[in-house]
Amino acid sequence: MIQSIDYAALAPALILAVTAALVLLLDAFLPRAPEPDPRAAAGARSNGRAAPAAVAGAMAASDPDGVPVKAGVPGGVGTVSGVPADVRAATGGLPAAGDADAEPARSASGSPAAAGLWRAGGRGVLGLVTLAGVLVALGALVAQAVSGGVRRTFCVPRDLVTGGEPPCSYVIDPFTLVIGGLVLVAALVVVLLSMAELAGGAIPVGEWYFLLLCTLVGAVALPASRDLIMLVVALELVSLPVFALTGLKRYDAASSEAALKLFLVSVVSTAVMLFGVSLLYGLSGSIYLDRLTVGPELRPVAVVAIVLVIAGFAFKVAAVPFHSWAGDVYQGAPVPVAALLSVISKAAGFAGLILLLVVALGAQAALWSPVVGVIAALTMTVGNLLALRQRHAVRLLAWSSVAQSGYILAPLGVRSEGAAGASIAYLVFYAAMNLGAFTVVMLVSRRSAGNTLDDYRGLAFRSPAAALALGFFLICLAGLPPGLAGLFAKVIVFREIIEGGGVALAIVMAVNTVIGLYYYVAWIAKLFTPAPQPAGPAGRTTPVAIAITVAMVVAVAFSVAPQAVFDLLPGALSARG
Amino acid sequence: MTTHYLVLSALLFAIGAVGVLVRRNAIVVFMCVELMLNACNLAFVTFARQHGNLDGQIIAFFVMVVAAAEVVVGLAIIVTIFRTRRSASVDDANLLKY
Repeated sequence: MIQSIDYAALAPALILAVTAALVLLLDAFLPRAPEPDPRAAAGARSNGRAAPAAVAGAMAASDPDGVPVKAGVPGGVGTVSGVPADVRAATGGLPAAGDADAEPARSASGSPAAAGLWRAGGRGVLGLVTLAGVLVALGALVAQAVSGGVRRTFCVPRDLVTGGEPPCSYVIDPFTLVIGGLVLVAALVVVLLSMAELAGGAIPVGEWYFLLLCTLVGAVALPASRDLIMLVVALELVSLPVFALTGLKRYDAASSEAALKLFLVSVVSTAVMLFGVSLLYGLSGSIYLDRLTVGPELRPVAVVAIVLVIAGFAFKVAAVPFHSWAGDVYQGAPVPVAALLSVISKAAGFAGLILLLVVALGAQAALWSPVVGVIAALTMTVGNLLALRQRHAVRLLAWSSVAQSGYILAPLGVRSEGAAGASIAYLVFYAAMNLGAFTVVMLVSRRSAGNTLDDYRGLAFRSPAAALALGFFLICLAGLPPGLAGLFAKVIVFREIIEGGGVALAIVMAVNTVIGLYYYVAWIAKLFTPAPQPAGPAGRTTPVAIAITVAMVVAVAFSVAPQAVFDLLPGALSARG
Repeated sequence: MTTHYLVLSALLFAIGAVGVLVRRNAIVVFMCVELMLNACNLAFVTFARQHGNLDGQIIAFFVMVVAAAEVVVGLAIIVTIFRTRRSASVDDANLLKY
């Protein structure tokens, strides 16, 4: 009995996966430039050179000795073993500079001008291909949304099911569409930021876009998952490439340290979550989320399982007491990766949490909602208090996003019907505001690598548009009137908490909103403080300008017509079904 | 009958968790995580036996794949940090602070 697969349901994830493969192939075919950093010429002795090679080792054989070397065998990072060797031998006349990468000791020679031309061409193409892939995937998602209805695929054959509808592993419903749309629009901005980041030349381009697309495949598949295996695998697909992305920057000790911290914290959280998942499976004997039933006599085991699962996801969304990695990792990672972690990875984490708690264990709300409530209160308080004393822009955004995680979790801490809807609404608004703030931070980081808050002094006089945009995003995050998006989001969460009877939680949140005002407004005040600032080389900022514009348009649209988002929610609320 | 296996699985998980908390070498921490993952596998397979279906065994396969992928990326990162620091101790990774 052969199951038919609904490819239309899988389309966005499939398109992203095909784009990832295309990027990998193009990266192998395009000729490589010699290392921009002279240290590379000194050989693998220097500290950073082997790092990306090692990271990419899984998919690229980068051992020059392993391949029988003809004149033109590329041994560089990211070339797939064998295939490009043949292709290059066949096409013959590619520039010699491309081959210098194979043996760094010889790479001092070569034609820099031609190589620079090739490099710029290759880089632009890969970025544009990625961007096109994300856009097409977004188009497929919109087509799914327009055609309406609920699509299911990977279902259990009807003959094997005793009673009731057969359970399915992959479901496209309004919940999936909202989270998927959020992820893909955020991905557009992250790809634009990547273009500016990669212009620095310290990061291997092909690997970067490939890993980024892999993360996106996971983030798009995760909200559609309706069984434990899909959920775990998709969550890992979101996490694993991000470790590599964090550590991909060459000659950067902070970057590799951030990667180590993120990696250790994340694998431990995965192990903890998996043990919780194994208990859930043991309790119910099924892996399908809509069949996870827990008998009353096994309640103590269910409590343990739920606490373990919440702990695992709390790592992913950086909720207290598992938040301490956030500041270090956001600061050490390249800015686009920090943006990705704070929006896409976090959205995926919340999607998984909502799927497991609300969809699968909705009947056990009495067991998990108090735990989530306490975590939410702690998260917003600790995040805001830590943000108060920050001098580094990205670090401040890291702790502020921890605090915002608390607001997103808060509705789940009370027992009300619309809790998941309020969480998703806040998540959508938060994504627009936070991503916007990161775009402007990226722009400033082009000029001043330190990226402390003092670097923002007088930004309003140097680049008024950027300062205005950052001011707007920060006001949104704070929830003050001109930035209505943030205000509406906070109001909907407040309303849900009060309706659910969580008065104490509402008071904690109100106090935290006031604390948050301080550091957001202090930052805005810095923008308008006149200060003489020597303008450094800005680098390539056009993609960043486009990214700021995209984020600004979305944030303004959310501020002007928040009803549009709320209209999406009744559908998302029924994620239960 | 399957109780012993579950107890063993819980013990292995606890040993792994304690190891993660007390050991300082990144590679040893990583090995402890692998121990935790294998404890999960044992639990999955035991529950599959208990319920008489194969779902748990399938999850165990996927967990193995995930663990293998984690090893690849993780060892690469540890090598990177060892090259910059000449140390694999997690206490020496102190460049980024409050």
